[in-house]
Amino acid sequence: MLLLAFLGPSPEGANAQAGKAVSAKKLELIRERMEKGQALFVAGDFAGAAKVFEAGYAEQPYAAFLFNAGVCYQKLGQVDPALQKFRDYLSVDPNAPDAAKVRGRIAALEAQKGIVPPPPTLADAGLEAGEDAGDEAGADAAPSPPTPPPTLVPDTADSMKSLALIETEPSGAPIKLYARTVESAPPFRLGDKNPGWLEVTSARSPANLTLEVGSYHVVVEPYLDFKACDAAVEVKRAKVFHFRANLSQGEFMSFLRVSANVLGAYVFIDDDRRARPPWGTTPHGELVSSGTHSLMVEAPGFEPFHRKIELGRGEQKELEVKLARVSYGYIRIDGNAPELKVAVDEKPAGVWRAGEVPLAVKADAGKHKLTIKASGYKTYEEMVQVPAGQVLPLHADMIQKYPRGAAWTQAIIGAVFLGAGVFLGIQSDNLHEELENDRKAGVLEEEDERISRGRLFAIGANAGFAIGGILGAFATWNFIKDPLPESKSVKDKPVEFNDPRKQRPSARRWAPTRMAMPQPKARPREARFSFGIAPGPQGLSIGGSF
Amino acid sequence: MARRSSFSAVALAAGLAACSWTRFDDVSADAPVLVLTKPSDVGSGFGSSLAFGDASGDYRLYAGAAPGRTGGAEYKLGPKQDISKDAVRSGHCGLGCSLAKSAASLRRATLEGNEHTLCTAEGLGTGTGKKPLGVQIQCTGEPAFVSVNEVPAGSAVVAGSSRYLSLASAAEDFPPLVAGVSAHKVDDGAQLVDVPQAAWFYASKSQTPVVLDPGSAGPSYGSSVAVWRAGGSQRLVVGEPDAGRVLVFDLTGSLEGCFAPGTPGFGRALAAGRVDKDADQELVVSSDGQVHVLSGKALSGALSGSCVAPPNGAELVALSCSETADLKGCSASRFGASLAVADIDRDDDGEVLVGAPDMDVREASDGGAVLVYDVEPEHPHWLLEARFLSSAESGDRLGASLAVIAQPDRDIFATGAPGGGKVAVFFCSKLLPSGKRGSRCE
Repeated sequence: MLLLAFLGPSPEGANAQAGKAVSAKKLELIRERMEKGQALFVAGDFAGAAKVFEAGYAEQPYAAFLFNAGVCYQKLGQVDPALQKFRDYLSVDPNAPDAAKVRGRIAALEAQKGIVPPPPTLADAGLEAGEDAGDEAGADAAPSPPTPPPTLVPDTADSMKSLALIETEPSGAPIKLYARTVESAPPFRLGDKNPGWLEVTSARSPANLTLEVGSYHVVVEPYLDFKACDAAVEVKRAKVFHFRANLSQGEFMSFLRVSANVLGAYVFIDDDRRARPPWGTTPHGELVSSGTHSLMVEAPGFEPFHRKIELGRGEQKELEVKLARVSYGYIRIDGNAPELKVAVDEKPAGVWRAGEVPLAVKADAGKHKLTIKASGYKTYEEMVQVPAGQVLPLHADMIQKYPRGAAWTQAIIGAVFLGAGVFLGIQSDNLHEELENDRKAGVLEEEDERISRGRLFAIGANAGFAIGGILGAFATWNFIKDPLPESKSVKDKPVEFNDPRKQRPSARRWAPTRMAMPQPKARPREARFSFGIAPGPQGLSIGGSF
Repeated sequence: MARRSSFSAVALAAGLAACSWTRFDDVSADAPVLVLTKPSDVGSGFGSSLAFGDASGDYRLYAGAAPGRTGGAEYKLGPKQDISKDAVRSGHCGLGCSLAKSAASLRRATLEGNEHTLCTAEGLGTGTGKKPLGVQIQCTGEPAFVSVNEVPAGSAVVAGSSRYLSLASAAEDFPPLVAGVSAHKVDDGAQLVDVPQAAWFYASKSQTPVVLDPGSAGPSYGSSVAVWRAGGSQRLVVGEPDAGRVLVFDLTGSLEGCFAPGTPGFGRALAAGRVDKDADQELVVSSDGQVHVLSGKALSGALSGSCVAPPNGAELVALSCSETADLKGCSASRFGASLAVADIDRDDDGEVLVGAPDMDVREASDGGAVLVYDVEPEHPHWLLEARFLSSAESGDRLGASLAVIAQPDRDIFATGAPGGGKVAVFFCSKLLPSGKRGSRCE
């Protein structure tokens, strides 16, 4: 069974848009809606798909959207909106080649709801007869008795219709569309009888056709002084095809669509030196002349993509480009200290000062040891992952070093006490040695004043050691103690390289050079409160800070 | 962190270096030198005179104050007694008495018809019974007793002469007591009275003075006296340093001889004791800057009734002052101001103890010292030991007086430091065999 429908010359009014040349941007919007709805339908999200198709129709009033939306509602079991969409479809495109089938679908749905269709009028009969003439060979023109409503066939993904936009230069050329009716039929040849091929519609350019899945051949008949030309069309479900025949050259232009894993990547055709503005940004589809073309796709942060492509006449080619990130990235560094000295993998990488734009440090993608030092602040060290082809914004939240004044004071006083202890100990030892010698020499008397002196020195030495030791312990503790957190960093999500072709950098893009940026506000110091008891030079001291 | 590690290391080192003060208790316990405590009723110049006596296991050291003053004290120093630095008795030579420049101990004495023990001739006094002025003797044994040996009639000795009075005896029971006084002037309250030189003695068990008449003598006669046993007889020796001679009398008071080697100041101080191993005591005599050790045997054989030089070979050695790392100032040390002979190393002969009260000890000028010489034929000049106070102070003048304290196993000695009012007992000698030195010396 031939599954083909077409729209003739574009209607005026509601579908007037379809009669104009379609821009690449508009074509891309139509394509996006159509493919998105199709994807949702395949995924079983019929409601979502219906919404996308309806929105597509609201933006680009092509009847294919209405039909597809009706199918979605029908899949949802929502008979009323399904009926409405199918009726709207016929209303917008009453001459659609599949109008009879759509009416049958409507009748079946109405029967399902228990609505008795009114008897067909003559006009209706004639209209149906005419339509059926194209659909069912051998049908009489006389009104036929009422037939039972057709049985509803379950819709599949292939039920989605595609849209073919056919244009000529100049416009107004007669167009015929042939469909392959026999699977084994040889390719269509212009001027031959082409068995297995059936003309399914004719129209004048520009025209948009709602097509079911299948193999088609479009032929532009001789027009004015121009010769005929043709092109093959393989229709897949829920796609948008764009044909444009340059009659002066006698051939259809090719259609090239380039998409990439990077949205907005720049596409250059036959312009490897980028001397001209880009052909488009991904995804981008446009008519191009057939033949061999040099394609280059590039995006900031990605390696350029080069390829030679061959386009046949009227060929609809889609190219999915996978851009690879460059092997390096940047760390963008600023912080809350007056000056930051940055080192990557222990090698100096630059200095950032408050008031300057963030420091950009280039590094190979991967993990690197980042060290940031600032006078009076704790050193920040961390292994950071430098993203390939991206910029890692990093704000160094430097924490001031914990003051060691008390520790130094205790250490110095402790050292003095220790020194005094050592001195007194030595004196005591010397006196003891003298006394021992005197004792051995037999001249030591019990009341020798050096005995008392040495004893006092020993006590003083021990006291010095004790006090010095205690102060030393406190000093050690105060040297070790550090209630403040370590310096850390706040890392934003990696952003893309700045796009120099764009006038105004977006918030998510960044140039790997110094550039004017808002001065980073000093991070308000977190309120901290501490309370402690610590020995001071004059005893224990109680203190607090916040 | 390095900083913290260094600090910890210092603290650890300091901790290891911590010292104990109790080690000073250990080093000072049973110190080899015992400085006796001066009682409050003893006047200045404590230690100017010393005398040691023992009887029946009772060991007493007498120490007197400055000559001419009053007050003295006794200490127990026996080996089986509780050796204490505190006096067991004081108040010697009190009212009516003035101290001599040297004292003599009488182990036993017969006084006023009764025997007494542990007696000390201290000075000139009248005793408690208002007797005529004489040599006051105080016995502290049982019963305690004070007596007075009258001075020779016509000697002109008065109470004020005590500071010129020299006394000597022997370490035996009932020894003779010899006394001498050089010529001097005494203020009798109205005028200075000349008191001529004199020497006399009291025979054993006698309180009657016997004048030692030298025939003719200079004013320094009687500056020093000694009891000397040699040649089988006990003799009395009187020095006349200005004449550079010593005179020897027998126990009848007759002059036996005189020795004048021609050395200036010979006879300034005298001591007798066994320096060599024969039975005769050697006579030890000070001169100006030297101490002469004279063989008792040789001298006793040379007594001729006249004044002669000691025979050849009689002088065993002439000791001179020796400086050490701790002792300086020999030239003005008054080397030989006091003399004694003691067997401090228990080798059966005596060592010569020489007082040098004006020697400089370490940083203390005139701290004073006692030099101990071991006069042996192999090393006659050998300075055995130098004794001084480890805490000597300037002006102490240790060595102004000497007393030998006989112990069962050895001799120790006491020496006075009248400048500092101290009396120190030196217990140790490094020549004693290890293990026999006692707890103070090991």
